[in-house]
Amino acid sequence: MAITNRLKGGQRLVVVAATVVLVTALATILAIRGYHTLLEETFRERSLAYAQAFAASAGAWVDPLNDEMLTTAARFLLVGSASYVRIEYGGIRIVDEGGSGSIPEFDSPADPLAAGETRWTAGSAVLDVIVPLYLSGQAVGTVRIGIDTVSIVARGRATAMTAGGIALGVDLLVLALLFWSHRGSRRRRHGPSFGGDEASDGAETLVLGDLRIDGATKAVTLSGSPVDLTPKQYALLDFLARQADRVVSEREIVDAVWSESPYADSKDVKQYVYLLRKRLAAVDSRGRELIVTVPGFGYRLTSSPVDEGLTDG
Amino acid sequence: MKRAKRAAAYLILLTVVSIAVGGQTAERTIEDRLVAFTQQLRMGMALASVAAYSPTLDDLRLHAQQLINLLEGAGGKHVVRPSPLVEAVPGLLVEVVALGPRFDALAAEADVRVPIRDAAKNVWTFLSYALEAALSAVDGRRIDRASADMLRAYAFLLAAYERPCDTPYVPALWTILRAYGIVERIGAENES
Repeated sequence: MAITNRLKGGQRLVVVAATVVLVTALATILAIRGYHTLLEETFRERSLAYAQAFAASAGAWVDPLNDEMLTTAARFLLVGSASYVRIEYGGIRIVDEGGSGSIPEFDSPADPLAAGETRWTAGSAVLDVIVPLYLSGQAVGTVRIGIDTVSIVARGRATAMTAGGIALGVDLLVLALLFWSHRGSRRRRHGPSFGGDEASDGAETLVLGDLRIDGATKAVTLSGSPVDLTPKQYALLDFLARQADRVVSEREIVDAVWSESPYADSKDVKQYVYLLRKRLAAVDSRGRELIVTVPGFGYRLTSSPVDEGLTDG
Repeated sequence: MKRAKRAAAYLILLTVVSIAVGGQTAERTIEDRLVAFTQQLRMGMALASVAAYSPTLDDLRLHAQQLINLLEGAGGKHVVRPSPLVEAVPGLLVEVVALGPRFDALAAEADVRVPIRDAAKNVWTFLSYALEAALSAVDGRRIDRASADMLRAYAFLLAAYERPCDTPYVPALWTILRAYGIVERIGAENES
């Protein structure tokens, strides 16, 4: 906070924008990772339950053995995501459908499989699921199903793309709002208007040598004497004073002081600078020199009237 | 791809039915038809249970469609089949209706005929509810809801199968099988 307070408006905007983009990107990555983990876990759980449901059905055709029904049931699965189905009963493979004979063996297929096991086959897009085959409450064999993960991977990818798109959209929206808000605040700062609701903007008192501008009362004094200004002349002086010692172009002045008028141009600037100098000179003859014309660039209000000779002599 | 899978599902259905009917002709006995019917129904239960736990929604819909094919048969309104149709496949719903007159003819005595007719009617009712649930699953857009539909389908198929138990149960297929004395032929005696 302290750092951002020391930064100028534009820099602050960049810092805030970068923070927004960073936070959104981080949140999106975390959300996608979380979703993928959930998707994978759900897929694993459902695949295990799928194999268990099939094994429970297959159990009814194992004793007495009904090869044809078992094979047909296995083929029903192969139409979907299952890429192979194997049923082993009493150490004999009674169903071997799908696959191309290159299905890797489990390290310990004879393990007591209470609920079953899933594993990703290295270098393959298949989830290998093995579950016990029960008969009258006794594990008499195993059912092994390879489940293709292509569809679930595609779904994860599509979701990631969607989330990324949404995050980008949010980023752009926030950045647009920030930019708009920053631009609005700059306008308010640089070009005070004269409506009641904006009267508090720039209400502080500015003192530049003998020039004093009271933002609250809109009173201007030079060398202690009041300077009678119209609202537009006051706005011009206030703007130049806030940019003291900096050359501001006519365009900047038009944007700030005549922001509400699409027809204002450099002629208005010239005319009002002339009038302003005249009003200042009416109070103090050296007031005319307060606003310096920088040919080809614009105008500059000097903050060191002593150096400029304002109060000299 | 989807069409190819559906076509494959239909071809498998043909296989199931041909296995179930065992190449039988019109002269099949009612007992043979009941055994075939029971095998088909058990295959339907297997489909409903795997569908309920399918790893993806696409798989679930596919198995639900396989069940619909099995229930409605070749002439079904919702059957997805390849064209041209190779062979007429009777569906469970059609078969249970077709068996009605045979029950009447064989079970002449009213005390047997009436319970069997009631049981057959219950089987048809449960199967039609299972069909409704499977159709709902096929149209499902959320896997959890479609799974619930398939569990519902399974429950109705189980009710149609009428597995005997100690708790009250509604007479259905098992009652018919028992009346014809063919419980052993379906290889399900170990379940009773």
